Amino acid sequence: MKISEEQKQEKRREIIRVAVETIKEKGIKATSMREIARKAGLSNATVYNCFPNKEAIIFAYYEDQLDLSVKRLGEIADFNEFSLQEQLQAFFETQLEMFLPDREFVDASFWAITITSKRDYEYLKPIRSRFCSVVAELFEAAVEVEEIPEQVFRETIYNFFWDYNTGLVFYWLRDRSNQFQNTSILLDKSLDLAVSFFKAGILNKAFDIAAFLFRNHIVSGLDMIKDPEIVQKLKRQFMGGEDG
Amino acid sequence: MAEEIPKSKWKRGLTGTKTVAKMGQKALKYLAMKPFLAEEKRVHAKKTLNRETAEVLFQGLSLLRGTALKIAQFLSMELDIFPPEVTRELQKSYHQAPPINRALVRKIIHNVLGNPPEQIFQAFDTVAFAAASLGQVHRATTRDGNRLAVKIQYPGIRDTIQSDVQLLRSVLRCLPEYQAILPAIEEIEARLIEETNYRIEAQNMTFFKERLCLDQIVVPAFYSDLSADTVLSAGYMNGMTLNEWLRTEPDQKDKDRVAQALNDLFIFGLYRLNCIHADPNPGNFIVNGDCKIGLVDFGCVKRFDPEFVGLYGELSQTALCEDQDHYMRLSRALRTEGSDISPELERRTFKVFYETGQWLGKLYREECFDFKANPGFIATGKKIIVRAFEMGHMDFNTNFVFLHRTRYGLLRLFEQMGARVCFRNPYEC
Repeated sequence: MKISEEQKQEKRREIIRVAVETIKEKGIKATSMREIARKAGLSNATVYNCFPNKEAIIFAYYEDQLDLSVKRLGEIADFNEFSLQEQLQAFFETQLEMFLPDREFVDASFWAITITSKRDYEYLKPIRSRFCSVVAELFEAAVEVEEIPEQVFRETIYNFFWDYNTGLVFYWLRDRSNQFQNTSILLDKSLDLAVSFFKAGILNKAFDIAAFLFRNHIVSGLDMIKDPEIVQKLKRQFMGGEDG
Repeated sequence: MAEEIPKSKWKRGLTGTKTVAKMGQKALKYLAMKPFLAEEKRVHAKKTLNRETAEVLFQGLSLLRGTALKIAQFLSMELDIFPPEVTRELQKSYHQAPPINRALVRKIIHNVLGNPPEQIFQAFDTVAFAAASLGQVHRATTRDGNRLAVKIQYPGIRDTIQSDVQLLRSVLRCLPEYQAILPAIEEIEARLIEETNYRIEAQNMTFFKERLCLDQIVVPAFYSDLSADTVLSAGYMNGMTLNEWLRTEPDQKDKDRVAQALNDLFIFGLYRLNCIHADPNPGNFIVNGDCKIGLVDFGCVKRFDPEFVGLYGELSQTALCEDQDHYMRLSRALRTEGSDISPELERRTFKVFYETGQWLGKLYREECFDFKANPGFIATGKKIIVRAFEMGHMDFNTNFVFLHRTRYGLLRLFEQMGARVCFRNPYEC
């Protein structure tokens, strides 16, 4: 009997939910695919049909949460009127809200997924690029309404926010303040600073200086290197730390 | 740098009046503080405090912002370290709670009330319409259509106050007059902490709502299920703040009515409830089309014990009929224990008191006192009050601090309004 796409999705969600609850209880190591199948009332084959291993289930959880966060943002009535900082802030806060019921699970798994091995990178990649595309959308909208100037190194900025988000989740996991208000304050103040940078076009200006220095000093300095003696000297210094 | 951008956003959210009003309120707080230090040999402190040390110290504190800055400002004004122009500049940056942006507003509501604003209110304006003590105020509508003013506080502000004060204490320890300044710092800290607890404010609001039976004064309803210690939901008061209303150039008759209602509120509060709304800044009085006054912001409310109120009423009567012996008896009764003063000082105190009585007595001499016909009334009184403060022992009972501050604040408003007010009342004359 062929199962519908909807049933398949339902099963997938159920497996993730059971895995999250089991990991909360026992930790990642002590949780097996077999146990997840048993608790979900499914056959091992069905579980393996959906996910090749438990790492894939963990990544799927984060992917789903990210999708749900984006959906939630869409439900905020005046989200389009928010400033760039407010939009980013709402995005990060919403993710943390989604993680809240599964805080122990996030605590147990977040390190493993962010500091991932090469083998698992294929799972992380779609999450990361989805995340960066959300940030990119917000930035592009802000540039369009001239809230911030065009930015150089856009990709780097988006990736910076991914790392920022990772750091934020770690901070949140260790936040002992009432209702994690310290995380909210940190988020508020750090985004305020970051967005001020973008608004002032600091990166663009830094790039301008670098380009100027490169053109006027590095490029012209290259002429010097035509002298084989200097090249040899530099090479020795670089390789062995000798002064020639 | 991080402060720059939101500051301008913040300013956009404010009405000019409210800011000015808050500054006025802070100036009043300064007046209120003076007597505390007076008891701690303020004059002596002023003389010996090394001016240069203080300036360097202040520069350091300014970098800290937040509470430390606030307290530094208090102290700078208190000890008259800086010339008036500098003090004015300081006052400008006075009442700055961190701005709360729309994302954070949602977060706070979610944290405190359990759900994001759209699930709790029928409508919620994420942009603030006014500043409040260490927070900001938003318009909202309840599920059943009641309009609200929702006051929200920046997260963690209370912890900030405590740690800032701690920091400040350790910095100030190097000053020769540390012991003299200490009580003032403690008083400021206590007041700030109290201001950040909206539950206390809610209790005060409910107290007035239940007991205040004056036709012209409206106290907003408190919505307990939509409030917590950092969020306070109250009925929205229609109308304009007193200053805005005055700018519309209302009739003399209406101005008189409003001023009279404010005075009645003070007298009723003091003598019937033994509890006054001790923050007479124009932003706290919302005047509507019928000249009714919505009373808002119950963060600073002062309760008195009935015995004190009785003696105070008598004291006012004595001042008016210039009975020195009776006054002496009353002043002894009102004096704080352990603060004995010499007969010479007592005689001088009476002299100042007599002058104050003469000055205040003008208010009662006729059926109605016309501030327009008596220009410079406040200026005259101010001179006497300054002299009284200089005596050091004028305010022998801290209850007077709040009482005088409120009374003086109201008189200033009346003068500004050019109103005619009947001050006579059964309790004082």
